[in-house]
Amino acid sequence: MRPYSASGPGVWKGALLAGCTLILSAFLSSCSVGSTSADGGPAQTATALITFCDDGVPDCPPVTTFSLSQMRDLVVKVDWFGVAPGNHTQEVRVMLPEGTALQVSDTGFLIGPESDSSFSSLQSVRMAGSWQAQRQETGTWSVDVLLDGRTVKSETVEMTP
Amino acid sequence: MKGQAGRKNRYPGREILAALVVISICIPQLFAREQYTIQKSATNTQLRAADATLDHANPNTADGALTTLTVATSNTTANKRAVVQFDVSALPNVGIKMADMILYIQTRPARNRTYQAHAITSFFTESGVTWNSRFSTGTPASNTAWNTAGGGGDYNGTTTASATVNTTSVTCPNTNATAVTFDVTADVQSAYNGGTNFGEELIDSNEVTGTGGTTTFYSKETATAACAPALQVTYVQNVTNLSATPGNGTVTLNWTNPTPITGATVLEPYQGTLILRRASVPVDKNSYPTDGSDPALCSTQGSGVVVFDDKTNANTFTDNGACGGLVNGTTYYYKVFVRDNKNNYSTQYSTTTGVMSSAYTSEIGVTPGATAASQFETNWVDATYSNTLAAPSLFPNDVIMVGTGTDLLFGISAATGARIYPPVSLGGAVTSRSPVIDAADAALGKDVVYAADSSGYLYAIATATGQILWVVNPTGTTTNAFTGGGGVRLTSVLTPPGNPAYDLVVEGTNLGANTTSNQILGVNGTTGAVVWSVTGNSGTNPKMDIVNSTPLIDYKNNAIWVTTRSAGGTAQPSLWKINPTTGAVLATANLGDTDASPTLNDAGTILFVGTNAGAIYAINPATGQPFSPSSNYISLDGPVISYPAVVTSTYPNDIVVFSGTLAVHAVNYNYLTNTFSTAWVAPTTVLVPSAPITFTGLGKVYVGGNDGLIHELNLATGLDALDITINLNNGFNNKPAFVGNPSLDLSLMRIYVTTNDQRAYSYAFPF
Repeated sequence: MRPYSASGPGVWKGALLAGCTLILSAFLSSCSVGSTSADGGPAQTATALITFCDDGVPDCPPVTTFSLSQMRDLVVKVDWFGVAPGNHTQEVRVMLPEGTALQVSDTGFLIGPESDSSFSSLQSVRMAGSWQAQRQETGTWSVDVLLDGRTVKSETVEMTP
Repeated sequence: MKGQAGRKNRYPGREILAALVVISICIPQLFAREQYTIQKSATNTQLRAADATLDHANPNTADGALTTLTVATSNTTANKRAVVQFDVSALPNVGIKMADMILYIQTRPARNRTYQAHAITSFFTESGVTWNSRFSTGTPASNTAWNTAGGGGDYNGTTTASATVNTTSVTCPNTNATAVTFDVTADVQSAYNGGTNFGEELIDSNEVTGTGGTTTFYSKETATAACAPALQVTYVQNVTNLSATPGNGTVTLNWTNPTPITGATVLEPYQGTLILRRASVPVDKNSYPTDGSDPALCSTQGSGVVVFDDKTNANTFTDNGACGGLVNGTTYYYKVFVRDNKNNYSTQYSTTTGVMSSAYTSEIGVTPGATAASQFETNWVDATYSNTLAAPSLFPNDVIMVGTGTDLLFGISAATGARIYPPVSLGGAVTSRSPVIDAADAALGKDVVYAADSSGYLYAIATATGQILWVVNPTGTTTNAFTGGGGVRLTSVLTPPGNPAYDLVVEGTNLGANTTSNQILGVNGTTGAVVWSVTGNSGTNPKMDIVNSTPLIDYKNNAIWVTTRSAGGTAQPSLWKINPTTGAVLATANLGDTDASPTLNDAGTILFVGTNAGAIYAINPATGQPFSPSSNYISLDGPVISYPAVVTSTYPNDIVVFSGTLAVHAVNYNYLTNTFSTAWVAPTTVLVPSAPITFTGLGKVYVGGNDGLIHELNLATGLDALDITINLNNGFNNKPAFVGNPSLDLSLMRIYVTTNDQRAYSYAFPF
C-alpha cells in the first residue's frame, strides 16, 4: 500500500476508500480471515485496514513515516469489514524493529445481526518522552492486527530520529 | 481439548475409545510432577481472586459479594453470565502442563445446558463489575464500560472450553457432586507466558435464542468451602536460588531443587535437571527440551547446548568445558530445566508463539576469568516479557517491582530473583518506576507499591502478595494514560508526623494531544480518594501540557515539583511548584518542554531541571525561578534523559550528571556564583545512554547503553573504568540489548536493570 501523504479532514475518507480497495484486493491476498460468530453463525471473510497518524499534528493525517523526536502519539486506526455477527476480539500488536511487542491491546466488540459487519478502533501509543524516543528505537516498526487469535493484517511504519 | 461435564460422566459409552486416543496423544502432559487445586480456604484466601454474576436485567448491579454465580439464558435482555478469576499465587515458579477450572452446582437447570468459557481480555474489579461496567470506583465516581456493545464482558471470541450441566447433574455438597470442568490450560499457560490473567467469562452456548436454562454455581464467597470454584493445575516447578560462581575457565552452578508444594498431589517424582548453555547471549525462550525426550549431553537444543544431563537430583554442576571449552572473558548463559522421571520439563506451551516456551525457566549469566577481577556473574536473571526500560523500583534487600508494557507488574525477590507471585495483571502498561514504600513508613501499614498505568488507573498493591488494595481512575476519563511514575509524600516523615493521616500520592496526567488542560493529582494513599487536583487552563491556573515525569516531593521546602511539556515552546509553564496540602499552584516557570523529572540537591537548596532542549536549569526553590537569567547549561545533546543526578562536591559546588542522546555529561554548579561549568563528557562513548545513577559518596556513575552493557564511570573524570556485559544480542535482531535505567540496592550492594531482551538482571556493584 502506498504511503499516505494527504492531509486535512478528508483523509480518513480517503482511508475508507483505500479500505474498500483493500477489500477487493483481500480476495487476492492473504490479509483476510474467515470469521465465525461466537454462536456458530456463518463464516465471513473479515478484512482489516490499518492506518497511522500522529495526534500531535492537526487533524491527525495518515502517514507512514514519523520522527521519534518530534511526534506526540502514534495513533493506530483499524477498520474492520466483513466481520461475522457475534462477539469478537481484536488484538493490536505494536512491534518494535527487533520483533518484540511494545504494546498489545485487546478489544472485545460485538457485531450485531443487523449491523454492516464493520468496526473501527483507535489505539494510541504514547511516544513523546517515551524510552523508545529517548533511546532512538528507529527503523521499521510493524503493527499486526488479529481477529479472534488469527492474524488478519500487518502494516509497517518507519521511525526516524 | 475441550472441557467436559462432571468427572463421573467424563467418558461415557462409545466415547471411551475416543477418549483413550486423546489420552494417548496427551501422555507427556498427563504425567507431570505435581497437581495442586487452587480453591479458597482458610489457608488459601484467594486475595487476588474475583468472581461475579453479570446480570443483563440489572445491568448496573454489582454481584461480586454474592455466594453464587449464575449463568442463564432467559431471553435477550435477561441473560446472565459469570466471571471467574483465580489467584494463582500459590504457584509462582512453575511450568504449566494442564489446568482445569471446576465449578460446583447449587441449582440445576431445567434442561441440559452447555456453557462456554472465554478468556477475559480486560481488567475488572469484583466490587465494581456489572453487565455494563467492568470497573467502578474512584473520586470522582467513574464507571468504565465493557468495550463490547451491549455489555457483558470483553472476552476472547474463541471459546477456550465448554462444559455441560444436565438435569441430572449432582449439586454440591452432595457425595459425587458434579464437577463442571473446563479445560483452561491454554489461558493459564498464557498467563504464565507473559499474558494477562483476567480469568474466564462463562456464557450459555445458546444465549441468543434459548430460554429457560439457569444454573447457579457456588462462588468463592460460599460458606461451603468444598463447593467454591477450583482451579486444578498440573505443573513442574523450577529450581530456585540458582547461583553461578566463575572460575578460571570454569563455571560452577548451584541451585535448590523443588520440593512438592504443600497440599499438592505428587504424580511423578522429580529426577534431576537438564541445563542448556549459550555464549554471549541468553538461551532464547524457544530453546528447551521436549517433554518425553532425553537430549544427549552436548547436543544442541535450539540455541543452547546440553551441558548437564542429570537424573540424580544433583544441586550443583561445574562446567569445565566438556561440551566446548569456556573462554575467559566471554559471558555464558545457563538455563536450568527441572525434569521428572518421565522427562517432563519445567516448560509450557506458549499460546502467543504457538510453540513450547521456557521463558520463565531459571537462568543465569556468568563470565569466567583468569583473575577474580575479571570474573563476573549475575545474581539472577528474570523474564519480564517487556521492553520497558524504566528503572526497577525496590525496597532494599526485600522486593523489586517491575512494571511492563504488557500490562503486568512483577514482584521479584531482591535476594534470589524468584518471582514472589505470578505477575499482577493491570488495566494498562506501566512505563515508569513505581514507588515502593515499606510498611514501617507507609500510612497503609503494609509494604505497598503505587503503580499508574496507561489506562489512567492508579493502584495501591501489596508487594508481599500482589493484592490490589485499591484501584481508582482519578480523572474519571478514558483519555488519560499515566506515563510518569508517582511521587509519594510520606506522612511518617513530616514534622510533626501524622498530619495528615495518609500518604499523598502525586501523579500527573498524559492526555495525549491535549496541551492545555492536563492535571496534577494528589491522591490519598490509604483510600485512593482524590485529595486535590490542579487542572491546567482552569481558574487562575495557566495551561498545562502532558506530564511524562515523576513528581518530586520536596520535604525541605514543603512543596511538590512537577515538570511538564509546554506545547513545544516557552509560552506556557513546564515547571510547577504545588502546595502539597491544598494543591494550590505556588509558582511556575517557562523552561520549555521537559520530560525529565526534577532533582533537588542534598541540601535542598537548589532544584535542577533538565529540559528536552538539553538545558540544565538551577532553580531557586523559594521562588520557583532560575537563580539568575543566565543560570543554565546547554549540552547540545538532545533531551535530558529521565532526570539529572546531583551529587554534593567540593565547596561550593554540586555536580550534576545527566544523559543526553549521545553521551553522559557532568557539570559543576557553583552555588556562590550561580554558574555552571563542564566537568566532563564521558570520554568513552556510551552508545545512546540511559539515565545515570549515582549519589554523594559513591564516586561512580552507572549507566546503561544501547550496547548491551552497564558502564561504571568514574565520577571525577568520567572514565569508563569497568563495564559488565549483559547481552550483546537481544535475541531478536542480532543487535545488543538496550540496557535501561539502573536502580541501586544499597543493602545488598546490587544494581538492577531491565533490558529490551525482556529480562531483568541483578549484578553486584561496584564492579
